[in-house]
Amino acid sequence: MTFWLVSGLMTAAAIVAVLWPLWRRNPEPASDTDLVIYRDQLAEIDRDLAQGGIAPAEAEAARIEVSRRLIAAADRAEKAASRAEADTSPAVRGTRTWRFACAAVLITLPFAASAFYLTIGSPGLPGQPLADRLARANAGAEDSDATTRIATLASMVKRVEAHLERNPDDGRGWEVVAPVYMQFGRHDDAVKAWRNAIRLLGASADRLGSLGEAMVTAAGGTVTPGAKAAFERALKIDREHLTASLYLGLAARQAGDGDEARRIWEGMLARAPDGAEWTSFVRHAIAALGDGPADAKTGTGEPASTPGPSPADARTGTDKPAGTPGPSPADAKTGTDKPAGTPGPSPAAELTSEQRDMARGMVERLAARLAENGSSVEDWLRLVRSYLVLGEPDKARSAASDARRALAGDASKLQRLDSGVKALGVEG
Amino acid sequence: MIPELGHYALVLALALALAQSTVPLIGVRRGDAALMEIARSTAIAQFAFAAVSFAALTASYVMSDFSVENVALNSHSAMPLLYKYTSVWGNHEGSMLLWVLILALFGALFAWFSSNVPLALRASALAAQGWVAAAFYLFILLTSNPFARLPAPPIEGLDLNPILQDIGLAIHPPLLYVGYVGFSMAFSFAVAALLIGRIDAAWARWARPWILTAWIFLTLGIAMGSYWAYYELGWGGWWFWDPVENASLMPWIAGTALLHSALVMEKRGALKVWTILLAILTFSLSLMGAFLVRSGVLTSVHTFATDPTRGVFILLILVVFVGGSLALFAWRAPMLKQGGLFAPISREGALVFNNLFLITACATVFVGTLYPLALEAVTGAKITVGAPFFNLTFGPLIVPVLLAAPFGPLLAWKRGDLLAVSQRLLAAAALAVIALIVTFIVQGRPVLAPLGIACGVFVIAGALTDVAERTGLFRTAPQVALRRAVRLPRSAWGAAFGHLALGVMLIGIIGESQWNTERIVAMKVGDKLALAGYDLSFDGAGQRQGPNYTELFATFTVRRDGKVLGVMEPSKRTFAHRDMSTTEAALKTRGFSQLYLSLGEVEPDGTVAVRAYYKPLVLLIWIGAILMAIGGAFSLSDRRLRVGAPRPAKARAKAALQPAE
Amino acid sequence: MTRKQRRFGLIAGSLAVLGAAVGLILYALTDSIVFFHSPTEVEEKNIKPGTRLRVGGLVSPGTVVKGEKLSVQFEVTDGNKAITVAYTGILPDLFREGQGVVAEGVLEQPGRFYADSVLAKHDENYMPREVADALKKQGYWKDDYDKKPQVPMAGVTGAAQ
Repeated sequence: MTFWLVSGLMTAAAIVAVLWPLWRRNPEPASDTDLVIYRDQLAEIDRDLAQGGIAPAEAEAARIEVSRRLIAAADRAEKAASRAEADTSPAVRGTRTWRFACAAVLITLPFAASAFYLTIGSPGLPGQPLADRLARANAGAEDSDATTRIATLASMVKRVEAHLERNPDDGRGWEVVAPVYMQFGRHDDAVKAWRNAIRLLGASADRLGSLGEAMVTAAGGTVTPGAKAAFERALKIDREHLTASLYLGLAARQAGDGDEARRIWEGMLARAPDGAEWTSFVRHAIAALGDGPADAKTGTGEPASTPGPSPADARTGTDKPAGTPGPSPADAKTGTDKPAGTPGPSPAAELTSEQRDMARGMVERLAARLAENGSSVEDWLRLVRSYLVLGEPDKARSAASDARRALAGDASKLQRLDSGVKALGVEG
Repeated sequence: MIPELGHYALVLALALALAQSTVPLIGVRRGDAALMEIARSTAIAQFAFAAVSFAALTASYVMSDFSVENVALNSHSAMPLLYKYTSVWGNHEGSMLLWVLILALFGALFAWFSSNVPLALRASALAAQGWVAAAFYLFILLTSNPFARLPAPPIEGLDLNPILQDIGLAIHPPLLYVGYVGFSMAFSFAVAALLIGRIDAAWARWARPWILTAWIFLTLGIAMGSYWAYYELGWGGWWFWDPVENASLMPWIAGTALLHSALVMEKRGALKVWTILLAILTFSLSLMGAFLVRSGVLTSVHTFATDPTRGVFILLILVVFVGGSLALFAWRAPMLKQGGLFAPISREGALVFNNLFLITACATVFVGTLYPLALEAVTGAKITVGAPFFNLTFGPLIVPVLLAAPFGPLLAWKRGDLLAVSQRLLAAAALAVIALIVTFIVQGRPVLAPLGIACGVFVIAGALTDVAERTGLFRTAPQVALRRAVRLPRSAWGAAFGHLALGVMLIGIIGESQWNTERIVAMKVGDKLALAGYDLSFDGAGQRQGPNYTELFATFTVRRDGKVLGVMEPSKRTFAHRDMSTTEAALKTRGFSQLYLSLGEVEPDGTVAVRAYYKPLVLLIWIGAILMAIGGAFSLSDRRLRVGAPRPAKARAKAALQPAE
Repeated sequence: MTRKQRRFGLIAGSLAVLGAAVGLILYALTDSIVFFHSPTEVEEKNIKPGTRLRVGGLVSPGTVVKGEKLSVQFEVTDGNKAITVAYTGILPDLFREGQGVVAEGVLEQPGRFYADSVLAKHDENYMPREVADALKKQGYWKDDYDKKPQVPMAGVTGAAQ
């Protein structure tokens, strides 16, 4: 409420400022100001003369010149004064009308300003100084407020970072901080942290799997050769490692090898314990490969519900600390660690409606920008991905076909687009 | 809440600027004093709201409120407090807010201290100020809003660009902005004079303090920026003819010309139209500087963001204001009455000479800065116009200005005697010749150097001659001379200082550019390096932790003739959050000269690449600039510029009236 | 002198100064400007050895070879053609493999360039404009160069980025 009170006071102050001179008694227009200056110039000439700065003849000439200006100014002032006396009553009435008109317009101005502010500002949004957030976080961990939880994590990250700065060889510290980095979207840092953890604590399937996942996310969803190598090493240690298998399937699909992807994922299903939650997700991913020959291009796909372990869900999952807690190596085997693997409704359902509106606004801005200038493959893919996240497969498909049209002139871009779209499991 | 209040205050400031830009003009037209007075109250209130807005953004920075996008993008909670303040303007949005804050401040100061200015002139000038302010408020609110919010704020900000994490940033931009924006007052005065259709000597006296203020700050701002680049960028250069530097140099040159032509107008009522045009041009060049820097047309250290919408918006502002004011000028200027006559050889003539060369020199900088852009737009060829171009064009054009500087103040108004003045400058010329011969014998080397030093000595001695002449030094008893010196108008001191500073700066430039020694070597601990008579030994390297960076430093001991003079510690800072590093040069001052060390790469085997410079007389460059600003301050404090200020002046004017009538 | 004569004198004087300035500018423009070319353009335009120019592109990864006494050699590519740049001195802080760079110097022989100054980007988001254009021309523009710094966002906004 303080906000409305203070802004109300500010509005009032603005109104006072514009109307104040109208209330006040009119000041006498000071008309002789330039006379003062010329008189001073005359005095200065005398001073110069007295000090020997100028010759008497020059001083006389200068005095005449300034006097001439002085007289002209005095004449002007006199004329102005007599004119002001000449027109009195009718002008005053006119003046009054004008003043009322101006006052009327002026009063509306601050209100127009308020209206303008309401369209561009976020009036309800409180400030969130870091100190407050941290204080709130420390006060009670049971507080379910998302911001608070973020703040708790943040203070933790800070402590761990400070600790690692001093003891860069503490592998355990790197292992703790890495998943948190993923949650904060600091994917590159997560990659570094996992690398350090592996270097110091030795390679384990879980660590390698997480490293690979961080690399994939950092690369915007593409299973890079480095990530693939990490997953393959993980499988060497644990032949049935879940994350690694899942992403290797994705790698195969991104490479256009649908058969291999199907083989890997179906293998996972075959080994799955009863009731494992992740199976439905893998089934969807397989379905997205299509029934026909394993060429992804002919697949029918249900992109909305099964985007596969694509960057889109990887992001919504990992970026949102309010959602599933980060992948901890301990529960990796149960398959619940991976937000990307969360089955069920489209990821957007996890968002509050307010967040969804915001996201939609951003997506729309992106779409508008691309409609104007659609030369960036990455932006198009971002758009398609965003629609998938919002649970709008139709729009995703039409965005993909828009993208093809926009990039039609450029074969290499088109190729990159196609592989990207394929990776997202959208057919346009 | 705080950021939102700041946002709202900014919108209210826009509303007030709109009121300020229209209603007073109606008042002028109708002769209604009350409507004219609205200019004052709105100007002051507009400043108050701009200040609230700026304070709100600053508070958000200090409290690390990352729900403000601008803060999240440019700050970091671990930053030292000072940089939390300075990073407010270390980015595009915040710096534009600072820009309008200063603009509003100038308007408010003028509204407050202008009781001596006729009502109509004051109202029109404030209205013009209101137009500029309104345009920039709109620009900020529509394209560069510093109060954009993030509903889900990040935990940590992205940190300020490390290059900008320096005390130089705290000082350089605000000074520069006060300079740039201050010229808006000159612009507003010019537009007001055109609107009213009358301009006289009194106008120049009202406008001059504002022009002077802007000029002083711009001088200091450019000098600080140059010193900052010198020690922060790590390669010892102090002026690069970078387009952004040029963008600040052009208004400065035009402003210097304006200062001089306004003098003619104030004293003699001549050069009216030219002065008005210069006032418009000076501010136009300031605006163009903003356009070049903000639009991303040029990319350089100074470009915070490249965004076409912003560029288009600023271009629009530029076109409207420059085009509009020039059109107004073309329409109304012929109505202005021309003033006093003067002979070519006279103080006025000297000032015209100064204006002519300054403006031409400014034009060459303009061409050099914009030619690459124009060429690329037309032919697609990409070129760089660098120092050689400017040295070849700007240099020869500025030399006549330097040589003429001692003559100007000695010439009489209206009709001067060049021969007599030359005779009075004989001593100065003799000193210059001695300097020429001495430097030639001592240093020899590039012929340009002794000539430049001689020129500098001539300018300095000429400025001193002027003071000596006015006080009658050497001709009368010392006490008399001293008494006269005290009574000498402050503006005379100002002119002397300004011209003297020019000579000092020139000597610094010549010393640095002609005699500087540079060594770039790979060194290992224990290695020694001889540089211009100094011996530097590399004693060791180490690492330490700063608040938000790690620093690798190397320690050097400086000796001369076996005597230890001190230790120099150049370093490299690495900022983890941005994955960037900066070079921190180490400086050792010896008289006006400096030793300069900066580090390059460190090889795994412990070899460090070291840049070592000996820069003779380099400090004179900035000392010159500071002296110049001091000269400006002297002029500004001149009693006469305050004449006509309400009461005390009136009393004095009455006393002075008797001999006149 | 009459007023007219004076005015004529003033105008003539101004014109003389302006003329001198124009002369200086034209002379300086033919003599002291430096063209920017991408490695592809250097080859296509058959630029003669000995010409002073600026070359820009990305530093090809794995091509940086450091020699004795601060000499260094690396390849600059625009994705299509590459040119070898030799340089002696200290490389800028932000010189990295795979990043944008502009080198100014003299073409020694086709495909080999001796630089006397090397400029790198100023921060992680900055790309020399010429380099960006040259890369775009070759279709090798890496989009993340004009990406705005991303706030590490803890919310849904990541979806649209």
